[in-house]
Amino acid sequence: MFKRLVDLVQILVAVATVATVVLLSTVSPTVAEVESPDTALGGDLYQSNCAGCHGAGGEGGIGPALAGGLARFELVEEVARFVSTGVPGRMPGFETRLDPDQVNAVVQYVWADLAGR
Amino acid sequence: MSVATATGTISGVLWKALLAGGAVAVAAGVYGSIHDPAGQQTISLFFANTLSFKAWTTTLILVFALYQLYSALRMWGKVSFPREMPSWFGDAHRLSGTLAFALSLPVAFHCLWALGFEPDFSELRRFAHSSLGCLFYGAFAAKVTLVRSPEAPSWALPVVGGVVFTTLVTIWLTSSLWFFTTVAFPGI
Repeated sequence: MFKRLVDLVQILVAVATVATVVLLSTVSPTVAEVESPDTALGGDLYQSNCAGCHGAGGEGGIGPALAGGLARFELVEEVARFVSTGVPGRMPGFETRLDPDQVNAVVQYVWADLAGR
Repeated sequence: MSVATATGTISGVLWKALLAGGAVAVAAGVYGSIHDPAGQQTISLFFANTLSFKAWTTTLILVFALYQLYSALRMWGKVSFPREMPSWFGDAHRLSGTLAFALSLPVAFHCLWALGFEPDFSELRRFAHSSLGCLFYGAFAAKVTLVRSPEAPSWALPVVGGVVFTTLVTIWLTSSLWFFTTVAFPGI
């Protein structure tokens, strides 16, 4: 009985493995629709595009902390350029996923709400 | 098929395991390198975010792996507790390995899909974690190949199992432990 249960679990896991491989090759990043570059939109875009690495509140994670930070940047435009182009091997560039208004919205959110600049 | 070497022969099943493992490890590394990382959260269940989910899930996988190690040592007679092995002992070993692998799937998905492979050696933790992640799945594929091959030499399974366990521990050290000590603990 227990052996049959383990056999069944192994079959299910094999199916899940195939499904994972299929998902890896088919799922695209989600891009939110934009109407205007406001802070609420920037927050939504941040949560869906940036929080995975920088933390939901900008506290950092895989990527560096943003809250109270961004000391290396003097101008918000520099952050926008950085977000657009990314850094090979370290951070993806978002110019192919977000339009300029979206980049502007998320950068304004990070700059003002998270970093307090 | 067997190939003569300085120390004897490498049987066909070892070649099969080596090729299967190599193919899986290389495929994971290539995908992680050429796929444009999504940089997004995926599954987080009841955790605060995906990173927290991954850190705790990998810790649970480590617990299963420790049981795998212990039960394997018992089955190979290297430890003597319990003195009498229950009839379900081997199946429990199989189940713990299966569950550990199943739990690793959403973790690996986020690693590969959202973050990608870190090729920069100067980013040592991420480079080691990326490489060992690929090696883990390669070694796991080799182990599955060997465990279903009764003609495999007796030393092969413990060696490959040891590689799987060691890479998993190192993966945990370079991810979960790093997360708990530098980002947040418990971080739920």
